Amino acid sequence: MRLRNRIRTWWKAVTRTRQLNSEIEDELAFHIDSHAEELMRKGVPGQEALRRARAEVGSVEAQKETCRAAWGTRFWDELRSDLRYAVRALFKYPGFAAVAIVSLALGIGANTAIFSLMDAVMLRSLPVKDPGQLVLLGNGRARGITDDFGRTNLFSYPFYRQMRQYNQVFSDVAAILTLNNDVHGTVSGRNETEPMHVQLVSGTYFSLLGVQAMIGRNGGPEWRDRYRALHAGQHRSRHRNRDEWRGRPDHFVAECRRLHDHRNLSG
Amino acid sequence: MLRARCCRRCARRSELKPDCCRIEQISGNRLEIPQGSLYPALYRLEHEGWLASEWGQSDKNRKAKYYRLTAAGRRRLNAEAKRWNHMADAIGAILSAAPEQI
Repeated sequence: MRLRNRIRTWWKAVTRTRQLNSEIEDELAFHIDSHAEELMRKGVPGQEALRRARAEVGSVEAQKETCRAAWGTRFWDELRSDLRYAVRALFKYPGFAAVAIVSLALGIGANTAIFSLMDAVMLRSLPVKDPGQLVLLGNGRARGITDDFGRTNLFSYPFYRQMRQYNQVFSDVAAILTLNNDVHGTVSGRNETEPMHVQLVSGTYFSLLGVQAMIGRNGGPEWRDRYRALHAGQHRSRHRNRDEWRGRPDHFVAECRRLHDHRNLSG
Repeated sequence: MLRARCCRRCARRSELKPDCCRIEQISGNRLEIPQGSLYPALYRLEHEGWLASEWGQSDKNRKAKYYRLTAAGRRRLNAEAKRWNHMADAIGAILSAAPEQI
């Protein structure tokens, strides 16, 4: 009830300011007149009574202001005049306005860029099935280094096979080997060799992560004990190279097979 | 506070136009109410929903605004009057306490 009333009066004060002002004027005029009559009845002469009545009520403009403010318009009025003043000032000093706007834009832009980067790198989890369930053995560096003290090739391919065979803890195990950066190869249909970013993954890799290869085949159970080569094995770089490979899946897979045979990894 | 109470009192009898002089008379000319502070107080009371106003004709056929106490306003008035009387009683009791009572 009370809230409804407040909203009703506030709305009237904000949207029908002119009507409200003229109503207040009428009300005050009536008040002044009847007060002057009262004074005249007490024996004050006509003009003097009117003057005194007016003086007692005070400035009609100020009265209008305070009556309107009583209906909760102060915040609204101040906000409106502040905004108007701001716009006027901005137009008056366009240079200052430009500097302010540009620095705001730069500030917001820089922050957005940094946040997007952090979001992509740190906050958003890996785009795979159950990222929280993944466990990385070793520290993830090349050649299966288990710790920062020595270079132990602990995570060899036979190790992986044993691990799979006797695994009672994990739902599945996958192996990944990043080849050194000096791998070169030819894509079928091209003449020159080019540097390649190659990762060898076990046949369980895709099914374990629950992702699909962009082109070619995923491996699957029947590939279980064979390695597959992947151009730009990480999803993101694969994504970047998608256009390059589009329309040539057979060539790519054939190329991968050749890499297999070359490395003699097909076990 | 006092001002608001006075205005409420003037509107207590249903449909009276606000009149400071009348309030002063009722108070035995002991309360003086500045004319300028009457209307902002009335508007505030209307904003809170304790008064309702409507336009009508005065006895001299002039357009005049009449105020009426709403049900919520009456409840509030009773509550405030009770509080005031409570307070006045308390202070009266303190002031009239005899030395031997202390």
